[in-house]
Amino acid sequence: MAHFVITNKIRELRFFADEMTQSALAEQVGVTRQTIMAIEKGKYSPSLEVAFKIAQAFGKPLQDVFFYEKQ
Amino acid sequence: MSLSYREKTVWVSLLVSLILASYFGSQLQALFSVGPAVDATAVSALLLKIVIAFIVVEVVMHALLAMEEQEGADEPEDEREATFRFRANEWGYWCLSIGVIICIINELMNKQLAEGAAISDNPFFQSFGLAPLELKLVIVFWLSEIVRFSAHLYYYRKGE
Repeated sequence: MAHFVITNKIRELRFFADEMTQSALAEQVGVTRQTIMAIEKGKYSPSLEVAFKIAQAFGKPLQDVFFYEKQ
Repeated sequence: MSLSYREKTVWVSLLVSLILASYFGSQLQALFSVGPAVDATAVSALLLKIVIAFIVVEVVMHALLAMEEQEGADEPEDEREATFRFRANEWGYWCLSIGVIICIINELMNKQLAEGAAISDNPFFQSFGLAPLELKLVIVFWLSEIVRFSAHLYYYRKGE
C-alpha cells in the first residue's frame, strides 16, 4: 500500500515573503517558533486550523502550502 | 539545541524531582529499613518535609527561569505542546495506576499473611513490602512523575 505524507513549502514561502522569520510566522499563527520549525521539517502535521492560519499568513490557499503526496 | 520556554520548565521539574529524590532518598530508605515498626510521626514529618521542599524548590526554580527566559513565557501552550503533554500524562498516569494497584495488592497480602511475615526472604522485598502504605505511595508517585517528565522531554526532543 502506498504511504502518503504531508509535505509543505513553508521555507520557500518564507523566503519569498521577505525572508520572514520563523518567529514572525509563529507570532502570526499563534504557535511557538519550535512548532513552526517542526512543521517546516515535516516532523509535525498541524491541525487544520493552524494549517489554514499558516496559509493565510502567506496569502495563499491551503493547497499551495501543504501537499498530501506519495512518499 | 532549540528549547522552548515550556520545554525548559519540564527540564526544571525533572531536575527538581531527581535532586530531591537523591536528597531525601537516604531518609526514605532509612524509614523503609525499619519495616512495619516505623514511627508514624517520623513518616508524616518526612512526607511534610518532602512536599514543602518540592513546592519551594519548584517555585524558586520556575521563577528564576521566568526571569531569565522571556521568550514564550507569557504565551499560551500551543497544540503541539498540548499533544506532548497529553501523551506524557498518559505514560505518567499509567505508571501511577499500576504502582497504586501493586501497593493495594501488597497491602491486602500483608493483611492475609501472619503479622510481620513477608512473601519473600529477600531483605529488599521484606522492607518494602512491610513498609507503611504512605511511604510506598510516595515512591510510586515520585517514579510516575519522573516517567511523566521524561516522556514529555522525549516527545519534545523527538519533535513529533
